Amino acid sequence: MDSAEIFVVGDVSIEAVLTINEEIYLLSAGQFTLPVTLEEGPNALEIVASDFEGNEVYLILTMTYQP
Amino acid sequence: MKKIFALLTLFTIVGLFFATTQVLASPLETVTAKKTPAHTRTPGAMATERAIQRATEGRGNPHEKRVNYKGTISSMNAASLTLTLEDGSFVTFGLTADTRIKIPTLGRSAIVADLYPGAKASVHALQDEVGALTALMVLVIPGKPTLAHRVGVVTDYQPGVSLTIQAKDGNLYTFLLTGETKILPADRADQLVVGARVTIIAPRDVARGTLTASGIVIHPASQTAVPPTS
Repeated sequence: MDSAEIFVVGDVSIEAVLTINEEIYLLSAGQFTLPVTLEEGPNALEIVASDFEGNEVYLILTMTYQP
Repeated sequence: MKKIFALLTLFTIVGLFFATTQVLASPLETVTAKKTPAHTRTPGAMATERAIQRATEGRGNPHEKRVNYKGTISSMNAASLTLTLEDGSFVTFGLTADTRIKIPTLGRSAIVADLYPGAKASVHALQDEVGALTALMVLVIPGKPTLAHRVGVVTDYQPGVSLTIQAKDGNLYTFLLTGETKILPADRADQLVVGARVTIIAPRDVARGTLTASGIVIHPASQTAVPPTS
């Protein structure tokens, strides 16, 4: 199956925990660039970020990849 | 809550690693077939795959094309699925044994019977020369992420077995640990003890089963809770 790599780019002001689907990242304050592999067809990207106080934000994106 | 808004100031999807590929934010019109091993394919599925292959390679009917629709599932059965689009119109797709079903909360085990009316979905289909649509893939778009981040102070820790935290709501939450549970960062692993502040990554929907942690993030001892702002 074909796949493609894209990047999620962002910025956090303090240390934060970020998940992109099943992947878990601990981010230091500042910019980040994280790879995401898309499969053929529709893909749902579930992005969740939280701080050490338990505040949480999330974003769900749907993307379609065609080789 | 001010802090959390400052926490995440930007999410941007940027370019592709491969210059020749395309990533199209929905709603757009793209689909590709999944190729199933020959020994598991039905005659209908193989016919569908041949049609897809012809369309992909430009050898077949030029009127066949791949399309993508996004909407809400209004009705369905074993053979077809109907979407209500944003403009209120309806589109019906044929379902085959080769139609892939993707439901994030169910992983790769989702089947047609797991679809339900009212779910938001993205459907990729092959449209033939007379306009008939055959679904190649149905993706159910979740309302909330599958995983949640739960922060608290460790009150009990049994390595490889379970971990209990007291969250800021005062409640205790116990998570099962497995060999696949990640502990981050590695250089703080020795700080995972009773009293440590941690973030547990686990399924959001408790009703779907036990809370098995997929990750534990250990916060440094120097981080303390900030009093809530008004």
